[in-house]
Amino acid sequence: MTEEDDIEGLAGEYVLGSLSADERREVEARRRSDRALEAAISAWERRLGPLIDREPGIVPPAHVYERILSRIADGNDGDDEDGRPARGGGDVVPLRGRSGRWRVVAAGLVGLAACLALVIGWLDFVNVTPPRGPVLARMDCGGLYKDFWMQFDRDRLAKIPADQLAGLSRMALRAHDACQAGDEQDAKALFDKLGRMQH
Amino acid sequence: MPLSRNELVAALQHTARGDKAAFEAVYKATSVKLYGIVLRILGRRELADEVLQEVYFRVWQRAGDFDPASSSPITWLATIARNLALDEARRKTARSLEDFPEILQLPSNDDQSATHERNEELGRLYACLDGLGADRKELVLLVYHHGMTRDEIAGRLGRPVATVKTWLRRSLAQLKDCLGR
Repeated sequence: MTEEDDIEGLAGEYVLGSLSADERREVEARRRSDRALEAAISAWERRLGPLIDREPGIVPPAHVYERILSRIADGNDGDDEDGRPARGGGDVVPLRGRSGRWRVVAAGLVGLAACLALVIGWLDFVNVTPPRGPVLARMDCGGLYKDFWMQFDRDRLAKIPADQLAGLSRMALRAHDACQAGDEQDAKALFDKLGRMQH
Repeated sequence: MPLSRNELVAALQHTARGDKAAFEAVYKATSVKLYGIVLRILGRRELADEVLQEVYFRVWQRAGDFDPASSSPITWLATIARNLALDEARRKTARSLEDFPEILQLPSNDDQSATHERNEELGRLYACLDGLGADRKELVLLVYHHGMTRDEIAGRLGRPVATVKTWLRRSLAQLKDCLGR
């Protein structure tokens, strides 16, 4: 059996969530015309569906529902006169396709470009080569942050009081932020300190 | 406010006809669960907020696609939420878990609102997961609840990606055989 023919495995991994972005896109395109794949995906959704019952809920912020109602009220890409949802077709607006957000992003980019131009001009003026920070270039800030939580002893984590946990969390965020900001010494010191608290 | 399965089915059917009160009932009954799902996968509140909006916007648009004969309403809703969250997570090169260490814990609490039928299904599924052995069971649950890719798992375990893929495929095949459907 070729990899492409392993529909069960592919469908199972798609539903499980382990596929890369490209693989997910391929599966989503293929399932539209491949009935066997579509059926296998539905079967896996049914098999793994009960795991949802184990998901602890988290209350979403109130503004989420307000924004949903705004989108619905805005005419939402195809409502009819009664505000009823369009049926059929109805492909969904891309998450990042709202014009308001793009205006903010565009304004930010313009500002960023202006700042960069000023910095480059200044460096050119004083003929300075910016420090490269070769060690920092190798630091994976997100990975270090995630590893900290992933490698934390679970029994120990469960016993930490909420206020101390909040402090720990803030320290981890500081370490991540220092890493992102290029402060190697501070980031390393904080991550080392956090590492000692894991066990 | 919890709704029974039948009440949720009816609320989705009314939503499909443009009933905003029914839509609100669906949101109130399910948003806590769905937000937990997307936040666990994305790890960042601002992304989870956006994805949750998109989830319910789709529900409003496509409630008519829900077929109670082919899936439970919460499975249908959670599938939309998981797919959107996984797609969004894949767009990010580095995910941050921000201020929510608790989301890295695998869920263990039983949902009191689950029906007897759902509890039986969950019991069967967990019995089959137990049959995989502790390591592969945890692997499957980590992927499902956190949406970790093969590459991420391979990096974490220090094993080749191909090995992780083999483990996952074998685990899935064994689960399918065990569940017998």
